[in-house]
Amino acid sequence: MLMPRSSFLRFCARLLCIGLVTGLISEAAAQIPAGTALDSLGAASRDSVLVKTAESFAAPESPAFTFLNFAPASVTRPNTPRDFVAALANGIDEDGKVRQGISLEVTPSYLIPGLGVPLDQYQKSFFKRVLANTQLSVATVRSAGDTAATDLGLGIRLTLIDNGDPMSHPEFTNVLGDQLLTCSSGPPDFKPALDCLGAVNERLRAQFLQAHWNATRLSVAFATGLRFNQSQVSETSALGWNGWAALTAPLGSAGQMVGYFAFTHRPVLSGAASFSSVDFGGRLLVGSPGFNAFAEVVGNSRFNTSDASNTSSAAWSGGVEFKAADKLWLSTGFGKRFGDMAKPDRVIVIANLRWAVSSRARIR
Amino acid sequence: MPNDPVLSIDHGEELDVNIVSKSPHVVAYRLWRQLPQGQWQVCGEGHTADDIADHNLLTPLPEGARFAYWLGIGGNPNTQYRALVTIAQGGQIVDGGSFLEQGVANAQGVAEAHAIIAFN
Repeated sequence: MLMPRSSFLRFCARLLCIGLVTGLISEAAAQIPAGTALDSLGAASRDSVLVKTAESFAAPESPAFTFLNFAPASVTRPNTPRDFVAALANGIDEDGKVRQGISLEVTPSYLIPGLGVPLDQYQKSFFKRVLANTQLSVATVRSAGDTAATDLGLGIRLTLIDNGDPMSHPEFTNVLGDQLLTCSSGPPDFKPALDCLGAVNERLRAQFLQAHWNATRLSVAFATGLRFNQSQVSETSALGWNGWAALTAPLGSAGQMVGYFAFTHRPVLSGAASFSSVDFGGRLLVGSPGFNAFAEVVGNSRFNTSDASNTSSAAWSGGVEFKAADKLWLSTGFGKRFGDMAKPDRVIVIANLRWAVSSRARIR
Repeated sequence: MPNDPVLSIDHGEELDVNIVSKSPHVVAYRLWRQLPQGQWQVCGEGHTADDIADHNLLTPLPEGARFAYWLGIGGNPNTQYRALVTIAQGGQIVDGGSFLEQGVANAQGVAEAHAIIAFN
Protein backbone atom coordinates (compact mmCIF):
# COMPACT_ATOMS: atom_id res chain seq x y z
CA MET A 1 0.00 0.00 0.00
CA LEU A 2 1.42 3.42 -1.00
CA MET A 3 1.69 6.17 1.60
CA PRO A 4 0.45 9.69 0.83
CA ARG A 5 3.35 12.09 0.18
CA SER A 6 2.85 14.10 3.40
CA SER A 7 2.76 10.90 5.46
CA PHE A 8 5.90 9.67 3.73
CA LEU A 9 7.75 12.93 4.53
CA ARG A 10 6.60 12.75 8.14
CA PHE A 11 7.71 9.13 8.26
CA CYS A 12 11.19 10.05 6.94
CA ALA A 13 11.53 12.94 9.40
CA ARG A 14 10.63 10.68 12.33
CA LEU A 15 13.03 8.04 11.10
CA LEU A 16 15.83 10.59 10.97
CA CYS A 17 14.95 11.82 14.44
CA ILE A 18 14.84 8.35 15.91
CA GLY A 19 18.09 7.54 14.17
CA LEU A 20 19.77 10.46 15.91
CA VAL A 21 18.24 9.75 19.28
CA THR A 22 19.21 6.13 19.11
CA GLY A 23 22.78 6.66 18.07
CA LEU A 24 23.92 4.78 21.14
CA ILE A 25 21.60 1.92 20.37
CA SER A 26 22.72 1.78 16.76
CA GLU A 27 26.29 1.26 17.89
CA ALA A 28 25.25 -1.55 20.14
CA ALA A 29 23.08 -3.06 17.45
CA ALA A 30 25.87 -2.76 14.92
CA GLN A 31 27.99 -5.03 17.07
CA ILE A 32 25.54 -7.86 16.57
CA PRO A 33 26.77 -10.15 13.78
CA ALA A 34 25.09 -9.65 10.44
CA GLY A 35 22.32 -12.11 9.84
CA THR A 36 21.30 -12.28 13.50
CA ALA A 37 17.53 -12.22 13.61
CA LEU A 38 16.04 -9.80 16.12
CA ASP A 39 14.39 -12.61 18.01
CA SER A 40 17.63 -14.43 18.50
CA LEU A 41 19.30 -11.42 20.05
CA GLY A 42 18.81 -13.10 23.41
CA ALA A 43 21.55 -15.50 22.45
CA ALA A 44 23.88 -12.53 22.14
CA SER A 45 23.32 -11.68 25.79
CA ARG A 46 26.55 -11.95 27.74
CA ASP A 47 25.22 -14.05 30.54
CA SER A 48 22.48 -16.61 30.20
CA VAL A 49 21.83 -16.33 33.94
CA LEU A 50 20.57 -12.80 33.40
CA VAL A 51 17.17 -13.76 32.12
CA LYS A 52 15.34 -11.54 34.61
CA THR A 53 12.98 -9.20 32.84
CA ALA A 54 11.14 -6.15 34.05
CA GLU A 55 8.05 -8.27 34.84
CA SER A 56 10.06 -10.10 37.49
CA PHE A 57 11.19 -6.86 39.17
CA ALA A 58 8.88 -7.48 42.11
CA ALA A 59 8.98 -8.94 45.59
CA PRO A 60 7.31 -12.39 45.39
CA GLU A 61 3.67 -12.66 46.47
CA SER A 62 4.43 -15.84 48.43
CA PRO A 63 8.09 -15.69 49.48
CA ALA A 64 8.10 -19.18 51.02
CA PHE A 65 7.07 -20.71 47.71
CA THR A 66 9.69 -18.72 45.82
CA PHE A 67 12.35 -19.62 48.39
CA LEU A 68 11.64 -23.31 47.82
CA ASN A 69 11.18 -22.82 44.06
CA PHE A 70 7.74 -24.32 44.49
CA ALA A 71 4.50 -23.59 42.63
CA PRO A 72 1.66 -25.28 44.54
CA ALA A 73 -1.42 -26.42 42.64
CA SER A 74 -3.61 -25.17 45.48
CA VAL A 75 -3.01 -22.98 48.50
CA THR A 76 -4.81 -23.27 51.85
CA ARG A 77 -6.00 -19.95 53.29
CA PRO A 78 -7.39 -20.57 56.76
CA ASN A 79 -10.36 -18.42 57.81
CA THR A 80 -9.99 -18.85 61.57
CA PRO A 81 -7.18 -19.45 64.07
CA ARG A 82 -8.61 -22.92 64.59
CA ASP A 83 -8.31 -23.66 60.83
CA PHE A 84 -4.74 -22.36 60.92
CA VAL A 85 -3.72 -24.55 63.86
CA ALA A 86 -5.41 -27.53 62.23
CA ALA A 87 -3.54 -26.90 58.98
CA LEU A 88 -0.23 -26.71 60.84
CA ALA A 89 -0.99 -29.85 62.82
CA ASN A 90 -1.82 -31.57 59.56
CA GLY A 91 1.78 -30.90 58.48
CA ILE A 92 3.09 -33.58 60.84
CA ASP A 93 2.07 -37.20 60.42
CA GLU A 94 1.37 -39.81 63.12
CA ASP A 95 5.05 -40.85 63.15
CA GLY A 96 6.20 -37.31 63.91
CA LYS A 97 7.50 -36.73 60.38
CA VAL A 98 6.99 -33.55 58.44
CA ARG A 99 4.57 -34.01 55.55
CA GLN A 100 5.47 -32.78 52.07
CA GLY A 101 3.20 -30.67 49.91
CA ILE A 102 1.87 -28.26 52.54
CA SER A 103 1.17 -24.76 51.17
CA LEU A 104 -0.40 -22.14 53.41
CA GLU A 105 -0.99 -18.43 53.03
CA VAL A 106 -2.09 -16.39 56.00
CA THR A 107 -3.16 -12.77 56.33
CA PRO A 108 -2.62 -12.05 60.05
CA SER A 109 -5.08 -9.16 60.10
CA TYR A 110 -7.78 -11.51 58.86
CA LEU A 111 -6.88 -14.45 61.02
CA ILE A 112 -6.25 -12.86 64.40
CA PRO A 113 -9.36 -11.55 66.19
CA GLY A 114 -9.16 -7.83 66.83
CA LEU A 115 -6.70 -7.13 64.01
CA GLY A 116 -9.34 -6.90 61.28
CA VAL A 117 -9.11 -3.88 58.99
CA PRO A 118 -12.44 -2.53 57.69
CA LEU A 119 -12.43 -0.55 54.45
CA ASP A 120 -12.61 2.91 56.05
CA GLN A 121 -9.57 2.22 58.26
CA TYR A 122 -7.77 0.68 55.28
CA GLN A 123 -8.23 3.94 53.41
CA LYS A 124 -7.34 6.27 56.28
CA SER A 125 -4.48 4.58 58.14
CA PHE A 126 -1.06 3.78 56.64
CA PHE A 127 -0.31 1.22 59.36
CA LYS A 128 -3.67 -0.52 59.00
CA ARG A 129 -3.11 -0.75 55.25
CA VAL A 130 0.35 -2.28 55.74
CA LEU A 131 -1.12 -4.68 58.29
CA ALA A 132 -3.98 -5.70 55.99
CA ASN A 133 -1.56 -6.42 53.14
CA THR A 134 0.97 -8.37 55.20
CA GLN A 135 1.08 -11.97 54.03
CA LEU A 136 2.71 -14.97 55.65
CA SER A 137 3.44 -18.08 53.64
CA VAL A 138 4.44 -21.58 54.70
CA ALA A 139 5.32 -24.52 52.47
CA THR A 140 6.93 -27.94 52.63
CA VAL A 141 8.41 -29.79 49.68
CA ARG A 142 10.53 -32.82 48.99
CA SER A 143 14.20 -31.88 49.18
CA ALA A 144 16.02 -31.74 45.87
CA GLY A 145 18.19 -34.83 45.54
CA ASP A 146 16.93 -36.47 48.73
CA THR A 147 13.43 -37.91 48.56
CA ALA A 148 13.40 -38.77 52.27
CA ALA A 149 14.14 -35.23 53.43
CA THR A 150 11.65 -32.37 53.54
CA ASP A 151 12.31 -28.66 53.10
CA LEU A 152 10.23 -26.13 55.00
CA GLY A 153 9.93 -22.52 53.82
CA LEU A 154 8.60 -19.58 55.85
CA GLY A 155 8.03 -16.19 54.28
CA ILE A 156 6.60 -12.74 54.92
CA ARG A 157 5.67 -10.06 52.43
CA LEU A 158 4.99 -6.42 53.31
CA THR A 159 3.47 -3.92 50.92
CA LEU A 160 4.65 -0.64 52.38
CA ILE A 161 3.32 1.65 49.67
CA ASP A 162 0.85 0.95 46.89
CA ASN A 163 -0.70 4.05 45.41
CA GLY A 164 -2.08 1.87 42.62
CA ASP A 165 -4.34 -0.12 44.95
CA PRO A 166 -7.92 0.76 43.96
CA MET A 167 -9.31 -0.26 47.35
CA SER A 168 -7.33 2.48 49.08
CA HIS A 169 -9.11 5.16 47.01
CA PRO A 170 -12.58 6.19 48.30
CA GLU A 171 -13.57 7.62 44.93
CA PHE A 172 -13.07 4.16 43.42
CA THR A 173 -14.79 2.17 46.15
CA ASN A 174 -17.79 4.51 46.21
CA VAL A 175 -18.44 3.97 42.50
CA LEU A 176 -17.75 0.24 42.90
CA GLY A 177 -20.40 -0.01 45.62
CA ASP A 178 -23.01 1.71 43.44
CA GLN A 179 -22.19 -0.52 40.49
CA LEU A 180 -22.12 -3.77 42.46
CA LEU A 181 -25.63 -3.03 43.66
CA THR A 182 -26.91 -3.12 40.07
CA CYS A 183 -26.06 -6.86 40.02
CA SER A 184 -28.37 -7.69 42.90
CA SER A 185 -30.57 -10.74 42.61
CA GLY A 186 -33.55 -11.29 44.87
CA PRO A 187 -35.54 -13.83 46.87
CA PRO A 188 -36.71 -16.45 46.83
CA ASP A 189 -34.41 -17.83 44.10
CA PHE A 190 -31.38 -15.49 44.27
CA LYS A 191 -30.12 -16.15 40.75
CA PRO A 192 -26.29 -16.20 40.65
CA ALA A 193 -24.90 -12.69 40.19
CA LEU A 194 -21.19 -13.54 40.30
CA ASP A 195 -20.61 -12.98 36.57
CA CYS A 196 -22.20 -9.55 36.75
CA LEU A 197 -20.23 -8.64 39.90
CA GLY A 198 -16.98 -9.83 38.30
CA ALA A 199 -17.59 -7.89 35.11
CA VAL A 200 -18.30 -4.70 37.09
CA ASN A 201 -15.21 -5.03 39.25
CA GLU A 202 -12.93 -5.89 36.34
CA ARG A 203 -14.16 -2.99 34.24
CA LEU A 204 -13.74 -0.42 37.01
CA ARG A 205 -10.38 -1.84 38.06
CA ALA A 206 -9.10 -1.79 34.49
CA GLN A 207 -10.01 1.89 34.19
CA PHE A 208 -8.40 2.68 37.53
CA LEU A 209 -5.23 0.69 36.86
CA GLN A 210 -4.83 2.28 33.45
CA ALA A 211 -4.94 5.71 35.08
CA HIS A 212 -2.51 4.62 37.82
CA TRP A 213 -0.26 2.31 35.79
CA ASN A 214 2.92 3.98 37.02
CA ALA A 215 1.89 4.61 40.64
CA THR A 216 4.45 4.44 43.44
CA ARG A 217 4.78 0.99 44.96
CA LEU A 218 7.23 -0.35 47.52
CA SER A 219 7.20 -3.93 48.71
CA VAL A 220 9.67 -6.04 50.65
CA ALA A 221 9.77 -9.74 51.40
CA PHE A 222 11.83 -12.19 53.41
CA ALA A 223 11.99 -15.97 53.48
CA THR A 224 13.99 -18.59 55.29
CA GLY A 225 13.77 -22.33 55.75
CA LEU A 226 14.83 -25.59 57.30
CA ARG A 227 15.65 -29.01 55.96
CA PHE A 228 14.26 -31.92 57.95
CA ASN A 229 16.63 -34.82 57.38
CA GLN A 230 14.63 -38.04 56.96
CA SER A 231 11.69 -35.66 57.48
CA GLN A 232 12.28 -35.92 61.23
CA VAL A 233 11.31 -32.82 63.22
CA SER A 234 14.33 -33.29 65.48
CA GLU A 235 16.91 -33.39 62.66
CA THR A 236 17.17 -30.02 60.97
CA SER A 237 19.62 -28.00 58.90
CA ALA A 238 19.27 -24.32 58.00
CA LEU A 239 18.51 -23.62 54.33
CA GLY A 240 19.66 -19.99 54.33
CA TRP A 241 17.51 -17.00 53.52
CA ASN A 242 16.33 -14.59 50.85
CA GLY A 243 15.36 -10.95 50.97
CA TRP A 244 13.67 -8.87 48.27
CA ALA A 245 12.80 -5.20 47.78
CA ALA A 246 11.07 -3.64 44.80
CA LEU A 247 10.19 -0.01 44.14
CA THR A 248 8.31 1.57 41.27
CA ALA A 249 7.80 5.30 40.91
CA PRO A 250 6.28 7.52 38.26
CA LEU A 251 8.30 9.70 35.90
CA GLY A 252 5.76 12.36 35.14
CA SER A 253 2.57 10.99 33.66
CA ALA A 254 4.18 9.05 30.83
CA GLY A 255 7.10 7.30 32.47
CA GLN A 256 8.00 4.87 35.16
CA MET A 257 11.15 3.78 36.91
CA VAL A 258 11.56 0.42 38.59
CA GLY A 259 14.23 -0.72 41.01
CA TYR A 260 14.75 -4.24 42.26
CA PHE A 261 17.15 -5.77 44.78
CA ALA A 262 17.37 -9.33 46.06
CA PHE A 263 19.79 -10.97 48.43
CA THR A 264 20.34 -14.72 48.75
CA HIS A 265 22.38 -16.70 51.24
CA ARG A 266 22.77 -20.47 51.12
CA PRO A 267 24.92 -22.51 53.55
CA VAL A 268 26.85 -25.65 52.63
CA LEU A 269 24.16 -28.31 52.26
CA SER A 270 24.06 -31.81 50.77
CA GLY A 271 27.45 -31.31 49.14
CA ALA A 272 26.46 -28.01 47.49
CA ALA A 273 28.78 -25.06 48.06
CA SER A 274 27.71 -22.16 50.23
CA PHE A 275 27.31 -18.74 48.66
CA SER A 276 25.76 -15.33 48.96
CA SER A 277 24.45 -13.44 45.99
CA VAL A 278 22.89 -10.15 45.08
CA ASP A 279 20.56 -9.61 42.15
CA PHE A 280 19.67 -6.10 41.11
CA GLY A 281 17.79 -4.45 38.32
CA GLY A 282 16.60 -1.08 37.19
CA ARG A 283 14.34 0.01 34.40
CA LEU A 284 13.20 3.28 32.89
CA LEU A 285 10.14 3.28 30.65
CA VAL A 286 8.54 6.19 28.86
CA GLY A 287 5.63 5.99 26.55
CA SER A 288 2.99 7.87 24.65
CA PRO A 289 0.35 6.82 22.13
CA GLY A 290 2.96 7.12 19.37
CA PHE A 291 6.32 6.52 21.00
CA ASN A 292 7.78 4.11 23.57
CA ALA A 293 11.30 3.64 24.91
CA PHE A 294 12.94 1.67 27.66
CA ALA A 295 16.38 1.13 29.15
CA GLU A 296 17.12 -1.63 31.60
CA VAL A 297 20.03 -3.05 33.52
CA VAL A 298 20.13 -6.34 35.39
CA GLY A 299 23.05 -7.70 37.34
CA ASN A 300 24.16 -10.47 39.60
CA SER A 301 27.06 -10.86 41.99
CA ARG A 302 27.87 -14.16 43.67
CA PHE A 303 30.34 -13.96 46.53
CA ASN A 304 31.49 -15.66 49.75
CA THR A 305 31.42 -18.97 47.90
CA SER A 306 32.95 -21.95 49.66
CA ASP A 307 34.29 -23.31 46.36
CA ALA A 308 35.86 -20.03 45.18
CA SER A 309 33.36 -19.71 42.32
CA ASN A 310 32.66 -16.01 42.82
CA THR A 311 31.14 -14.36 39.75
CA SER A 312 29.79 -10.99 38.83
CA SER A 313 27.95 -9.83 35.74
CA ALA A 314 25.60 -7.18 34.44
CA ALA A 315 23.77 -6.60 31.20
CA TRP A 316 22.04 -3.67 29.57
CA SER A 317 19.15 -3.68 27.20
CA GLY A 318 17.08 -0.98 25.64
CA GLY A 319 14.84 -0.13 22.79
CA VAL A 320 12.70 2.48 21.12
CA GLU A 321 9.68 2.24 18.89
CA PHE A 322 7.38 4.69 17.20
CA LYS A 323 4.17 4.61 15.30
CA ALA A 324 4.91 5.42 11.68
CA ALA A 325 1.32 5.04 10.55
CA ASP A 326 -1.90 3.38 11.62
CA LYS A 327 -1.08 -0.25 12.57
CA LEU A 328 2.56 0.26 11.63
CA TRP A 329 5.12 0.33 14.45
CA LEU A 330 8.87 0.40 13.91
CA SER A 331 11.17 -0.67 16.73
CA THR A 332 14.87 -1.17 17.30
CA GLY A 333 16.96 -2.02 20.30
CA PHE A 334 19.52 -4.28 21.82
CA GLY A 335 19.97 -6.80 24.61
CA LYS A 336 18.21 -9.81 26.05
CA ARG A 337 15.01 -8.06 27.10
CA PHE A 338 14.48 -6.52 23.70
CA GLY A 339 15.08 -9.90 22.09
CA ASP A 340 12.46 -11.46 24.38
CA MET A 341 9.67 -9.18 23.21
CA ALA A 342 6.84 -10.27 20.96
CA LYS A 343 7.90 -11.32 17.48
CA PRO A 344 7.76 -8.57 14.87
CA ASP A 345 5.84 -9.14 11.65
CA ARG A 346 9.08 -8.66 9.67
CA VAL A 347 12.52 -7.09 9.88
CA ILE A 348 13.95 -4.47 7.56
CA VAL A 349 17.37 -2.77 7.39
CA ILE A 350 17.48 1.00 7.04
CA ALA A 351 20.72 2.97 7.34
CA ASN A 352 22.57 -0.09 8.60
CA LEU A 353 20.05 -0.51 11.43
CA ARG A 354 17.68 -3.44 11.79
CA TRP A 355 14.10 -2.32 12.38
CA ALA A 356 11.31 -4.57 13.46
CA VAL A 357 8.00 -3.89 11.78
CA SER A 358 4.85 -4.72 13.73
CA SER A 359 1.17 -3.97 13.56
CA ARG A 360 1.11 -3.04 17.25
CA ALA A 361 3.41 -1.70 19.99
CA ARG A 362 5.95 -4.21 21.33
CA ILE A 363 7.37 -2.09 24.18
CA ARG A 364 4.78 -1.65 26.93
CA MET B 1 -31.76 -26.76 50.54
CA PRO B 2 -31.26 -26.06 54.26
CA ASN B 3 -34.17 -24.67 56.25
CA ASP B 4 -34.28 -20.91 56.70
CA PRO B 5 -32.99 -19.73 60.08
CA VAL B 6 -35.82 -18.79 62.44
CA LEU B 7 -35.48 -15.90 64.89
CA SER B 8 -37.70 -15.08 67.81
CA ILE B 9 -38.44 -11.36 67.88
CA ASP B 10 -40.68 -8.84 69.57
CA HIS B 11 -43.42 -8.31 66.97
CA GLY B 12 -44.26 -4.92 68.37
CA GLU B 13 -40.84 -3.39 67.95
CA GLU B 14 -38.96 -2.29 64.86
CA LEU B 15 -35.83 -4.13 63.72
CA ASP B 16 -32.44 -2.60 63.06
CA VAL B 17 -30.55 -4.47 60.34
CA ASN B 18 -26.90 -3.45 60.16
CA ILE B 19 -24.37 -4.41 57.50
CA VAL B 20 -20.66 -4.12 58.32
CA SER B 21 -17.63 -4.88 56.19
CA LYS B 22 -14.86 -6.19 58.43
CA SER B 23 -12.22 -6.44 55.70
CA PRO B 24 -10.96 -4.06 52.97
CA HIS B 25 -13.86 -4.87 50.66
CA VAL B 26 -16.97 -3.05 49.50
CA VAL B 27 -20.20 -4.75 50.49
CA ALA B 28 -23.22 -3.78 48.40
CA TYR B 29 -26.50 -5.00 49.86
CA ARG B 30 -30.20 -5.18 49.26
CA LEU B 31 -32.77 -6.19 51.88
CA TRP B 32 -36.29 -7.53 51.50
CA ARG B 33 -39.19 -8.34 53.77
CA GLN B 34 -42.22 -10.51 53.16
CA LEU B 35 -45.39 -10.34 55.20
CA PRO B 36 -47.37 -13.61 55.63
CA GLN B 37 -48.99 -14.47 52.28
CA GLY B 38 -47.44 -11.31 50.87
CA GLN B 39 -44.92 -10.45 48.17
CA TRP B 40 -41.23 -9.78 48.73
CA GLN B 41 -40.65 -6.04 49.06
CA VAL B 42 -37.32 -4.21 49.07
CA CYS B 43 -36.84 -2.59 52.48
CA GLY B 44 -33.27 -1.34 52.25
CA GLU B 45 -30.23 -1.10 50.03
CA GLY B 46 -26.85 0.57 49.89
CA HIS B 47 -23.18 -0.17 50.25
CA THR B 48 -20.50 0.17 52.89
CA ALA B 49 -18.13 2.44 50.94
CA ASP B 50 -20.09 5.67 51.30
CA ASP B 51 -20.68 7.96 54.27
CA ILE B 52 -24.26 6.80 54.73
CA ALA B 53 -25.01 4.68 57.79
CA ASP B 54 -25.85 1.08 57.04
CA HIS B 55 -28.44 0.72 59.81
CA ASN B 56 -31.72 -0.13 58.13
CA LEU B 57 -34.85 0.21 60.27
CA LEU B 58 -37.70 -2.17 59.53
CA THR B 59 -41.20 -1.56 60.83
CA PRO B 60 -42.42 -4.22 63.29
CA LEU B 61 -42.99 -7.58 61.58
CA PRO B 62 -45.77 -10.02 62.48
CA GLU B 63 -45.24 -13.69 63.20
CA GLY B 64 -44.62 -15.63 59.99
CA ALA B 65 -42.96 -12.70 58.25
CA ARG B 66 -39.65 -13.30 56.50
CA PHE B 67 -36.58 -11.23 55.81
CA ALA B 68 -33.91 -11.69 53.13
CA TYR B 69 -30.56 -10.11 52.32
CA TRP B 70 -28.24 -10.21 49.36
CA LEU B 71 -24.58 -9.12 49.60
CA GLY B 72 -22.31 -8.37 46.64
CA ILE B 73 -18.70 -8.16 47.74
CA GLY B 74 -15.96 -6.48 45.74
CA GLY B 75 -12.24 -5.96 46.39
CA ASN B 76 -8.82 -7.06 45.29
CA PRO B 77 -8.67 -10.49 43.58
CA ASN B 78 -8.08 -13.60 45.69
CA THR B 79 -8.32 -11.75 49.00
CA GLN B 80 -10.19 -12.90 52.09
CA TYR B 81 -13.38 -11.00 52.88
CA ARG B 82 -15.55 -10.88 55.95
CA ALA B 83 -18.94 -9.18 56.27
CA LEU B 84 -21.40 -9.17 59.14
CA VAL B 85 -25.18 -8.77 59.06
CA THR B 86 -26.86 -8.19 62.41
CA ILE B 87 -30.54 -7.96 63.34
CA ALA B 88 -31.21 -6.02 66.54
CA GLN B 89 -34.13 -4.81 68.59
CA GLY B 90 -33.93 -2.27 71.39
CA GLY B 91 -30.20 -1.86 70.86
CA GLN B 92 -29.49 -5.59 71.36
CA ILE B 93 -28.75 -8.18 68.69
CA VAL B 94 -31.56 -10.70 68.85
CA ASP B 95 -30.68 -14.28 69.74
CA GLY B 96 -29.19 -15.88 66.61
CA GLY B 97 -29.39 -12.56 64.76
CA SER B 98 -25.73 -12.34 63.74
CA PHE B 99 -24.75 -13.66 60.30
CA LEU B 100 -21.07 -13.79 59.36
CA GLU B 101 -20.31 -14.12 55.67
CA GLN B 102 -16.66 -14.87 54.94
CA GLY B 103 -14.47 -16.49 52.31
CA VAL B 104 -12.08 -15.66 49.50
CA ALA B 105 -12.97 -13.28 46.68
CA ASN B 106 -12.49 -14.95 43.30
CA ALA B 107 -9.93 -14.03 40.63
CA GLN B 108 -12.19 -11.15 39.60
CA GLY B 109 -12.19 -9.89 43.19
CA VAL B 110 -15.86 -10.60 43.94
CA ALA B 111 -18.13 -12.86 45.96
CA GLU B 112 -21.81 -12.94 46.88
CA ALA B 113 -23.89 -14.17 49.77
CA HIS B 114 -27.59 -14.30 50.57
CA ALA B 115 -29.98 -15.66 53.16
CA ILE B 116 -33.67 -15.83 54.02
CA ILE B 117 -34.66 -15.57 57.68
CA ALA B 118 -38.05 -16.36 59.18
CA PHE B 119 -39.51 -14.74 62.34
CA ASN B 120 -41.73 -16.24 64.97
